[in-house]
Amino acid sequence: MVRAVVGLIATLGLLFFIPANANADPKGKKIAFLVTSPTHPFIATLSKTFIAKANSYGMEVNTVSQHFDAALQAQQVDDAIARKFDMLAIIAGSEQAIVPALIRAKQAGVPVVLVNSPPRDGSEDLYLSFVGEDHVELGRITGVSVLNALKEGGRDGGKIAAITGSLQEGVGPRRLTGFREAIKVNPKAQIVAVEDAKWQTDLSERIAGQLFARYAAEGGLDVIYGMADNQAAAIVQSAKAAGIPLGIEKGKLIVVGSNCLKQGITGIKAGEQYSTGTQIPTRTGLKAAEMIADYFDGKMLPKNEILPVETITKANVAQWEEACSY
Amino acid sequence: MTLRHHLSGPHGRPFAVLLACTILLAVVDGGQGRFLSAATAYSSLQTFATISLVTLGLGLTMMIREFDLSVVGMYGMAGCIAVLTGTQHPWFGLWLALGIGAAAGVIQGIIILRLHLSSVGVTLGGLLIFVGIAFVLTESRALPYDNLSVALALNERIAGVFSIRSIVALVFFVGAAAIFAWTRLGSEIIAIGGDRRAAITAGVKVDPLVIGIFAFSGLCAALSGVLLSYSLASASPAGLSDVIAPAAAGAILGGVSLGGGSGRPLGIAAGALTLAVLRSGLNAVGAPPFVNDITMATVLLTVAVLDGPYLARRLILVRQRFHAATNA
Repeated sequence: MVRAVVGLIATLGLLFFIPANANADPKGKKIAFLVTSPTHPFIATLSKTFIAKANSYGMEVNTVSQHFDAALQAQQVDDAIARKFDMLAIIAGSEQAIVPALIRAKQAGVPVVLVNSPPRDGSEDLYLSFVGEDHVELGRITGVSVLNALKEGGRDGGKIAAITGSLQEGVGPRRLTGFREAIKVNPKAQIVAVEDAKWQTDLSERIAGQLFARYAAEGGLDVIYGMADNQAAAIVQSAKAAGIPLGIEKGKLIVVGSNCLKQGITGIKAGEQYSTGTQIPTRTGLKAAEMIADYFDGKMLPKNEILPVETITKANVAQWEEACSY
Repeated sequence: MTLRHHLSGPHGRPFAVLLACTILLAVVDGGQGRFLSAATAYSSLQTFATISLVTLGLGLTMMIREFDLSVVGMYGMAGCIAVLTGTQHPWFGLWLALGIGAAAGVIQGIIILRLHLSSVGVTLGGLLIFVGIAFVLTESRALPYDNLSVALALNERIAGVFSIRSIVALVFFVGAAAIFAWTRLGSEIIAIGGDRRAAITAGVKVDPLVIGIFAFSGLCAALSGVLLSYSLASASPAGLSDVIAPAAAGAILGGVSLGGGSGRPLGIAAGALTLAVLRSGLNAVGAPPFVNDITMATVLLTVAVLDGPYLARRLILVRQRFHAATNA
C-alpha cells in the first residue's frame, strides 16, 4: 500500500516536469512575459529578442512590466494565471517575493520559465526551467581578470573596491561572492570597499568620486569593479574628472566591468576599461524563446540552462563587439 | 437630490470617477469578459489591499493640512520587523510592528506640535530613519519569510473576489467611515484642516487629534507593510512596492485636498479603488504597460483640474451668466 502511494506521488511529481503538451505545436500558444525594469537597455534588448523569436514560432506574447515592484509582479503572475496563459516567462524582480506566486502557478498547472534572474535556492520544484548565466561564475571570472590585470601591470597586489548592483538579493550578491572567492587567491589583493550603487550609473559615478577622496591619502585605489558596464563607464568618467590616470601600469586605476554593454566595449577599445564579462541579452532572449517552443514541441527541458560566460579584454574584444553593441 | 447631484458634489465625485473608469474599461473590453470578471475584481481588490491602507492614513493627515511622508519608510520597516520576529508566531510579528508604527506616529505628531515644525520636514526625517533602521535590521538584504502557509492563506480567494488582505482593508475603511458618520471626530478633523485656529476656538482638542491621526497613519502603513511582506513571503528594507505615489494619487482622487479641510474615508476608498481598477483593468484588456501610467496620470490631472478653485469659480460664473441670459 505504502509503495503504491509513494509510486503515485512520484508519478504525479514527474508529470509536472514532463511536457503537458507532448507532440503539440508552439503555434498559437499564449505566453505571458513578465518583465522587471523594461527600460534598462539589457532588459529591453532581451525582451525585444524574446518576443520576436517567440512570434516567429507562432506564439503570442503578452508583456507586462514593473520597476522592481515585487507586489505588482506577484499580482501580475496571479492575473496571468487567471487569464489562462499557456506559459509564464518571468524575469523576476525579487527571487524571494516571487515564491508564493510561483506556488500558485504550480497549483494552477501553469508552467513557468525563469529568465535571466536566478531563482531562490530550494525553489527548484516550482518552475520548469531557468535560462541565464551563473552569476557566481561571472563574478569569479571578473576576479580572475582583476588578478591578471594587476600581474600584467607589475603589481603583486593592491587595494580593490567594488561598486555593485543591488546587494539585497539576486544577481548582485551572487557576483560579489564569486568575485571575493577569486580575489582570495592573492592575499596581497584586498577588497577594501564594497558599495551598493543599485546598478545606477549616476550613483556609481558619485560613489566612485567619494572613494577616490577617501583613499587619496593612502595612495589611492588600484582597482574598481563596476558590476555592470554602465557602472564601469561611470567610474571611468569619475576618474577622469578627478584627474586619476586609467590603465594597468603602476599608479594607474584599473577598471573592470561586466554585462557586456556597448560602453564596456568602447572603454576596452579605448584602453580605459580592462575587461567585461559576457552576459548577452540577445542570446538569453533567443534561448528562452527556443526552450519554450521546445517545451510545446514535447521536448524535455533541462532544469537549468546555464549560458557560458567569458572574459572580454582588448585581446578578444573584436569577437564580441557586435553581440555586445545594442 | 438626484443621483446626478450626488455624483457631481464634492463627496460624490470620487464615486463618479470610479464609475466612469469602470464603464470606460467595460466599453474597451467590448463584452469579451476580460474586464468584467471575477478574476479582474479579485486582482483589483488585491491592488486595493496593497495601497489603500496607506492611502487612508496619508489622506487623513492631508485632511488636517499635514502630510505624512514617513509612511514609505514605515511600510518597509514594519514588514522587516514582522518577518524577522514573526516566522514562528505571525501574530507576535504583526502586533510588534503595529505597536512600533503607532508609537512612531505619536512621536512624530508630538515633535510637529511641540516644536511647531512642518510635518513634511519631520516625516521626511522619519522616513529616512525608518529606512535606515530597516537596512540595519536586515543587514541590507532582502529576507525570506519561511512561513509559507501564512503567505498563501493571506492571498487565498474568499467568495471568489476577496482575500484576507482586501477584507482587512475594507474593514478599516468601513470603521473609519462609521466614525466619520456617527461621531464628532469626522467634523473635527475637517475643521482642523479648514481653519485650525477656528477649530481651537470652537473647542476642538486639536493636539490629541493631530497626534492620534499621525499614530493612525503609522499604524495603517505598518499593517499594510506587514500584510504585504507576509503575503509575499519576503521583506526588503527598500520596501516591496512603490506606495507613496499611488497613495497620494488615491487620496487626491478620493476628494482629499492638499490644502486640507476636505475628504471622507469612503471617498478615499473610492480613489484607491479607482487606481486599482485602472491598473488591473488595463492589464486585463491587454493594454501595453505605458498606457497604464498615461491613463492614471490623465485621470489624476483631470480630477485635479476639475477640483481647482479657480476653475470652479469660473464655472459658477459661466453658469450664472447663462441663467441670467436665459431669464432675460
